[in-house]
Order: sequence, then C-alpha cells, then structure tokens
Amino acid sequence: MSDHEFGGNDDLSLPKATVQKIVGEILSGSSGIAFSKEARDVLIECCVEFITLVSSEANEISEKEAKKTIACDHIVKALDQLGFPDYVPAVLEAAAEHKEVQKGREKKANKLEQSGLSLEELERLQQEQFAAAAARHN
Amino acid sequence: MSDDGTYAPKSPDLSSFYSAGPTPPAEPAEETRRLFSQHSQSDASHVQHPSSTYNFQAHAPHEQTQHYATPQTLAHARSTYDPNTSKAPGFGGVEYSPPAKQEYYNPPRAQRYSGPGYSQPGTGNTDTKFPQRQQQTFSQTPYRGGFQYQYQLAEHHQFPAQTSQFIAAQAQVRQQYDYPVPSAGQPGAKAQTSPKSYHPDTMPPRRAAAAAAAAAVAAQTASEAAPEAPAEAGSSSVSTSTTIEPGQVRTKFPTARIKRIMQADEEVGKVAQQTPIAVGKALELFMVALVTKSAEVAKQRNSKRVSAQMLKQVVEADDQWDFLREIVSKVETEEKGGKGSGAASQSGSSKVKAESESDEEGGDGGAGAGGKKRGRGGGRKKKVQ
Repeated sequence: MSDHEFGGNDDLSLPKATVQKIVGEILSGSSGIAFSKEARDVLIECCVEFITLVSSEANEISEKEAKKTIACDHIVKALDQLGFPDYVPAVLEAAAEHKEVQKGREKKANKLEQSGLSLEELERLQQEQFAAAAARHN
Repeated sequence: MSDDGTYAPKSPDLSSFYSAGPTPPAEPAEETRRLFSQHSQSDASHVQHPSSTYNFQAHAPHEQTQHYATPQTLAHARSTYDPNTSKAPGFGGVEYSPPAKQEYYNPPRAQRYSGPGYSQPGTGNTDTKFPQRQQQTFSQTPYRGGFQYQYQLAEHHQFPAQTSQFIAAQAQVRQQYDYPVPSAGQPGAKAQTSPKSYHPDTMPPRRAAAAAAAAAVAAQTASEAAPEAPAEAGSSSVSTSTTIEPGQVRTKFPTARIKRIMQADEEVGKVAQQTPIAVGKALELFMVALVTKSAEVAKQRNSKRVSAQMLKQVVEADDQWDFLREIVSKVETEEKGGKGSGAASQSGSSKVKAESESDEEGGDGGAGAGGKKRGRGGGRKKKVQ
C-alpha cells in the first residue's frame, strides 16, 4: 500500500529496508524508541529531497566553474552554501576514507606487496626453483 | 520476493527478517565459510556452525564483521571499510595521493571552516588528531616512496597552525552548546529549538527570536534571547534526560542509488566517483539530525514511536529544514486523502491547516491532537474515530 502512495517510483527513492536499518542504528542507544512506517516514508522523501537539493546546488557550482563533472569539492561547497557547513568535515573524511579503501584494493592486487618478501628473497626463491627444475630435467 | 512468499506468506516479522539478513541460504560460498571458521577460531564468543545457514539473524552480523575484518588482516592495520573502526588507523595506514591531500586541506579552506559554527556531529574531534596521524604515517609506512615522504614532511609543517585553529573552534562550539548536532552560525536559533516543548506558552516569541537570529539582527535579539538561556539552563536536567545520543551508523547507503537520484535531475550531468560517497555521508548526517530530533520529540511526549507528525514538527521548527516543508505538508495531506474516504479527505486538508497552526503555537495541545490524527490516519486507533 505504502508503495503506491508516493507514486510507487521505487527507483528514485531509497531502499526502505536500508533506511529502516540506519534509523534503527541511530536510535539504538535510546531506550526503545521506534520509527513508524509513515514517518520512515516521510523520512525517505526528505532524504531524496536532500540529495536533489545538494546535487542541484553542486551542479550549479560546477557549471560556474565550467566543469562538466560534479566533484566532491562541489558537494562540499554546496553543503556549505545550503546551511550544512557542519557536515563538511565528516564528508571530507568519508571521501578520503573511500579513497584509502580504493588504494588498499589496488594494493591488494599487487602480488609483490602481498607476498611480504623482499626482492632479494624473491630472487633467491626463483633461483631455487630454477635449480630444482633443471635438476628434474637432467 | 514472490518465491519467498511460498514459505513466508504474510507475516510482518519475516519482512524485517529479510531486511536484517538478505543472504539467501544457498549464497554463502566456500570462501565465506572458510573465513567464517577462521573467524570463529579467533573469537571464542563467535563459535558457530559454519553450516547453519538457515539461522538468518545469527548469520548476518557475522558476515558483516568478516567483511570488515578480512581487509584489515590482509592489509596490516590499513583502514577498513568501517568508518568507526578505521578512526584509529585513520589516515595513517595507507599511502596517500598527494594532490588529494592538497585539495582537502589547503589553508584557505581550513580557515573558512574554523569559523564560528565549525564542528562535526557524531564523529567527535577526530580532526584535531591530524599531527598524530601524520606521525603514524611516518612510522608505519617504511615502504613509502621517497618523494612522498618528503611531501608529508612538508605538509606536516602546515598542520599545527591549522589544527590549533580547529581545536580552538571546536572547543568554542562545545562550550557554546553542549548538544550533539550543532547547527552552524545560528547559536540563538539552536538554543531555542531544542527545549521547545517545555515552554509551550512561549513558543511564538521563540520562533520569532529564531527567525530574527537567523537574519542576524544583532543587539535586540541578543537581549531577547538572553533571558531564555537561563530558562534553558534551568530545564537542562530534564533536557539531558531527553537528549538522544545517536548511535553509530554502520550501514551505508547504496552509492549507485544515490547517483541515480542525483542524475534524475536532468541538469545534472556527470558525477565523479567520489561524489555519491560524499553525498551519502552528508545524507547520513542529515538523517541522524532529523531522526534524533524527532526521537527527542517522541520522548518528550512519552511516546515509543516516532510518528510522521513528529517529523513534521521537527521540520517546521527549524529553518534549516525549510526545503522539506513542502514535502512534509504534502505528505500529510496525501496520506489523509489516500486513506480516508472522500469526506474525510476534504476535512483532512482543513485539519492540516489547523495542525500547522497549533504546531506553531507549539506545546502539548497541538501534540496531543497530532498524535490522535496520526493514529487514525494509520488506522491504528479505531476508537478515536
């Protein structure tokens, strides 16, 4: 029922289960206050509006700077202008963290780093295996 | 969902089940089980059958911790996905790309942030730890390339000055309002919105004072707001009991969805990879603020459930949320119209007006009426009808 209430366009909304989970996490400390379904639906609408507001403001900023892509920086400026400057540090931190994680992923793909061995050790291992192969061959 | 309906027809409990553990029984692959058993070896309290895949609730949290734990073990104290656990290694573990750093912490912007209202809700004073983190970086990453090391050194000189500004600004903010989610630049407005339900009769002047403070009309508003500050201090013993500490949010919004919502606006073109992450974080903070405040309202009314009505009250109380007012009012009328009959929807619109008026007058009269209407709208309290 509630799916049809707001046009039922689930694609341009946030997943209800996720929102409910996050709300639960926010309220986990406070003794047993729950969020009603109606309130959650309104909250989701508000969240979508927030995203739209921030992104359109960021879009304007990026256009002013003659950029075609909305970057993190534009979001930060938009938040600042829209009256949410107190969100900025945490947003920057999250973005930096994300970057770190991505770096970490690239790192993991690097087998040399992953092996934890120095180049000399690796070379020694290689020579040993060459020798073993040669011995097998002869 | 239709497949699941065969063995879980219409129980409301199961729907919450799915949200808690979206892993189908067949999903956990060989790899995850192996990791699982590793995990349970290391932690005695987590001793669990790896094959108990039908135990949704027990399974879901474990899987989560695995996902966080595995990169950590692989990357040796590198930062993990979880922002809360990664606070400690923070910026230390992983190599940085220098241009990004320059982008984020260049002096002019740092000066801007050290303005009067600077603070971070939820995350505490993590920014003040930058010098420590830089030192960690030196000691923990011997493999770092030479030029980067030098770069870090050079940057390190800039930090103490900036961080002292950060610390000073944050300390100032803490002293000004001991409040989990400070809104910047409007100390007067902030101080007045938090305890509003305790002073139902003084609501209209409060709103006026808040608006005036927002407009930054200096002297008169200051004298107006000053008498109310002691009143707030007097009720602080009550308000500390009703202040709700937001819990740690570990769940992340799906970035693809955020990006899609952003690009639903036709004017919005390309979006950088990091942007949805940043928006997601901002959204999280936004939600924390909104949910916390509405939960405070619920607590003040001795209610266990946050109704849409309370959310509306929160939105209308603070000018920071003015862009939500349309949604809030629209949703209220829509729900009335959708759920009631034709006659009810007609009277519904007039009731909404009455509600918003009573909300402005504030206090428990409007609160009580709002609660009743909410209940009837949800079809929960039939006797009221």
